[in-house]
Amino acid sequence: MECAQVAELTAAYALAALPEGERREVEAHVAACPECRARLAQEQALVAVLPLAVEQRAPPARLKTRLLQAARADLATRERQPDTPAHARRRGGPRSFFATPLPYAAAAVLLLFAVGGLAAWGAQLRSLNRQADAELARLRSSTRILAAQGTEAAPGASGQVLQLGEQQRALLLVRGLPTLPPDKTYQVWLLKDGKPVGAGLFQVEAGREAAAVVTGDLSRYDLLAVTVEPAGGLPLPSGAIVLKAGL
Amino acid sequence: MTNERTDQELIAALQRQEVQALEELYDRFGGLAYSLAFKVLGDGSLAEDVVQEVFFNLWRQAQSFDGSRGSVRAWLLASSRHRSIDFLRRRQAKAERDVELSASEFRLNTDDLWSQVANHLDHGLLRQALAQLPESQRQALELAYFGGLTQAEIADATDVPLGTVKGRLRLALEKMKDLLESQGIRTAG
Repeated sequence: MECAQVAELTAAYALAALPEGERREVEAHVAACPECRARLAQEQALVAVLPLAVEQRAPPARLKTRLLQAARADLATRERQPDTPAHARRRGGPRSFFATPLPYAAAAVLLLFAVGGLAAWGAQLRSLNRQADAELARLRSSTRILAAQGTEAAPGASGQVLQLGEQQRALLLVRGLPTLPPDKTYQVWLLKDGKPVGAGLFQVEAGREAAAVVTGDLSRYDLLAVTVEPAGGLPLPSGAIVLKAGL
Repeated sequence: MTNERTDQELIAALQRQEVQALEELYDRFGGLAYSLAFKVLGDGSLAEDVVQEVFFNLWRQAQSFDGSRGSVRAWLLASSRHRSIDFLRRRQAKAERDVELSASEFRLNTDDLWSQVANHLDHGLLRQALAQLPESQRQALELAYFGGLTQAEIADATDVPLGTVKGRLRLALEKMKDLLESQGIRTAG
């Protein structure tokens, strides 16, 4: 295949839209042609960011629960398999304690104690978890989560905006913003066509994540921004934007 | 959690069968994978099945994950897309085509452009860029990427010659590149 022919196909290759035969031909060509390889690499990088163009949705909480349950069950099954020495599988893991040899009686007592205690504790936790899961599932089904990013003024900062159903408020979770002196505050703004409206104040404790209630109907704005302002906040922003989220 | 582990550290922990590492990777990329699967499938419960399967496969096969061939994020998203398209085809009762991940597909480093776009101040940037593509190019791109159609199938579905589809796919990526570069995003490797 000539470069001109390959040039027609690399985009389709990057998009996985080529049939097997042409795919192999493109691979054979780019392996030997640095120029076509570079173009393909660029096209693949462009294709790789396409998931960012998708409207972001929060998966239901039960998905994570199910996945982790499956992984734990799988781990338990693997640990029961006798083909690998126990110490090799368990080294460094939280279960290494049980791999330590103990006199049988002591081990039995310990086990009984652990099982009894854990069972009661587990039942309590399960009931709490069920309530929390149900609540989370209810919230998540009506919640939109948007990512917030620190700007050049606070490159280490990030956060999430949780829009709670149809309510006239949202929750902003922030981490990586520095603690401010007492005469300053973080102020949240909602912007429409560049015009800001104050939407709440918050402080950050050293090394902690911060949460702020954002008041306003987010669907009516296109940007959420956070600035540093004098304590009490201002009617219009005066400081640099430290965090932003497109709405 | 101030000291977040890197993706590579999480893979290493996954290879030690640490469930917590799977949880952290899910927290990091589960939403993206789910959103992508949802976009392809248009159905939340199918998207859940896909994401569960993809992350569970990563858990099971972590030992053979080779980080030098691409990032775990690229792998998770490529797998989510492939599995979603596989589901889509099964549902449409079409013959399944080979959806094995071609290793070359994520061998190349796509991280630089990703982090630039992901960290860009305005997250709507990419959506805007796509919205600015001529309709016929955007449609071809979406049918290929989100619909999982081959270029021949796109030609069929949109009733245009195969050569036109090839041109549209190429031009769509070219235009997307120009639009991103006009926003100060560097797309060259």
